[in-house]
Amino acid sequence: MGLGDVLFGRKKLKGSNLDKLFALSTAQLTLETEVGLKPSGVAAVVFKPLSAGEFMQAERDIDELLAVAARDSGSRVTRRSDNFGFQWLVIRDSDFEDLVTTTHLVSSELDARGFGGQLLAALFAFRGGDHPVYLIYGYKRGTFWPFVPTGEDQERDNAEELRLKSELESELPIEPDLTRWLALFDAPLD
Amino acid sequence: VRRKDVGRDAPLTVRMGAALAVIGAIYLAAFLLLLLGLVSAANKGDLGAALGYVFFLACIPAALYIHLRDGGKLALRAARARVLRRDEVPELYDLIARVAAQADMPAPAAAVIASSSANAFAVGTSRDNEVIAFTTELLDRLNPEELEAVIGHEISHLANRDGMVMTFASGPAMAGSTIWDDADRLTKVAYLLFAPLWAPVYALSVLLMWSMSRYREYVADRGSALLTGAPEQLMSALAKIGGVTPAGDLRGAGISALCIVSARPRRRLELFMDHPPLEKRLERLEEIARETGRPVH
Repeated sequence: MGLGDVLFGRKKLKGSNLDKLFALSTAQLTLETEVGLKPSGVAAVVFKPLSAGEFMQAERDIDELLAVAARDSGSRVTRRSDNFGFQWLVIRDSDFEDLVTTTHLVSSELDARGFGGQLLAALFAFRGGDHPVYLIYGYKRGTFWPFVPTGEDQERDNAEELRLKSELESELPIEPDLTRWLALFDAPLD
Repeated sequence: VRRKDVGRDAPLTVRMGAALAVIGAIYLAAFLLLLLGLVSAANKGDLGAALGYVFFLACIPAALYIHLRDGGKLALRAARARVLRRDEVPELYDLIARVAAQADMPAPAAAVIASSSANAFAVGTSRDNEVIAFTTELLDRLNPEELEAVIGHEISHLANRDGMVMTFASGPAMAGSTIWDDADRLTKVAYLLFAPLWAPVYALSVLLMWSMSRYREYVADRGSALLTGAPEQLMSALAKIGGVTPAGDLRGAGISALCIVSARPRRRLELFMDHPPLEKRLERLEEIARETGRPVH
């Protein structure tokens, strides 16, 4: 942000960076064989729909988008919403590469429909050790971070997350700033 | 419409530019006057006076720097704000984290102020020590959607570095009142004799400070609407707390410009207000709501 942007308060809503998503399909083999993360076949695109006037148009857009995604990929896509008013487009596909591709397709369709700034994160579920493991992709920053909720009271297993960070760093663009590792508790994936 | 252009307000940018230019000119005039004094003192070989001018020249950036560094901390202390731990209010921290992530900002900490007037403000000198303070009344009165909108407003203030901009914009006015307050009675009489010289500049400085504050409010309101995707959430929050609230306990804290609603809520002419009138803020938000209603191409 330059001086002019500061003086005039012009900080913009940052758009989305989708480029790095595919790093996940490349890393899949390592994830499974070396890190021990087995895909659960579920992913989600989390975004904030615009309400008010745009709501009706947006509803139509998203329904149309879901139909397109289902037709093109064979993945199953459903809509959920959470307590924060975010929409979750939950994508199911037993083939991990297709899962990533559909996630990318859904995100880029949302982006093309003008929702780029509203995209918060994509979430990929894995079966790990004691707890389910999520890899979260932050659209604003174009980076991944691990998220391991213990299932108790919004606790997260920081030690496990940091271990995963060190193992994944060579495979994926991992978010270096730990304060940006947004937690997504109570993911409505079921 | 491209979404980032929503609510973009060219006339507002022009007015902000004009206000900033005049404020800059006041700084420049003060700087040149002191420099002139320094040169003439040096010419006369008056070392004492020359050092005095050097001192005042150094004072301007030093005072701005100190205010910028300590203003937030002092405001939190003056308002008796208590920074909350994450485990005390996990839902509030989660909500802040979501809005901050949407703005691509690190999540600020949350603080609470025991107060019967509903208000909130944000302070911070750098991205890692930012705090949003909420009064108990605000947390009690607003539902989660409205609270999200208030957080969006405060995070926009932080993202736009309004603390810094308002420190700069209020510099001349602060200097004026400090000089006046520090003077003894005899000096004040002397100042009054010269009132025709400085009073217009002082009045202009104060009016410009308030106008900058009002402009930044519109910008932060727009930011909140974009972050939450729902201008009507902020509208409903403002409708609840933005009318005439009971006399604020935040008045003394000197950060009214960063509050969601004015800490000096008495009705007055818009020219003398540090926040735009409620009706105008609601009007703008309604306009943003209408604009986002258009199909996107």
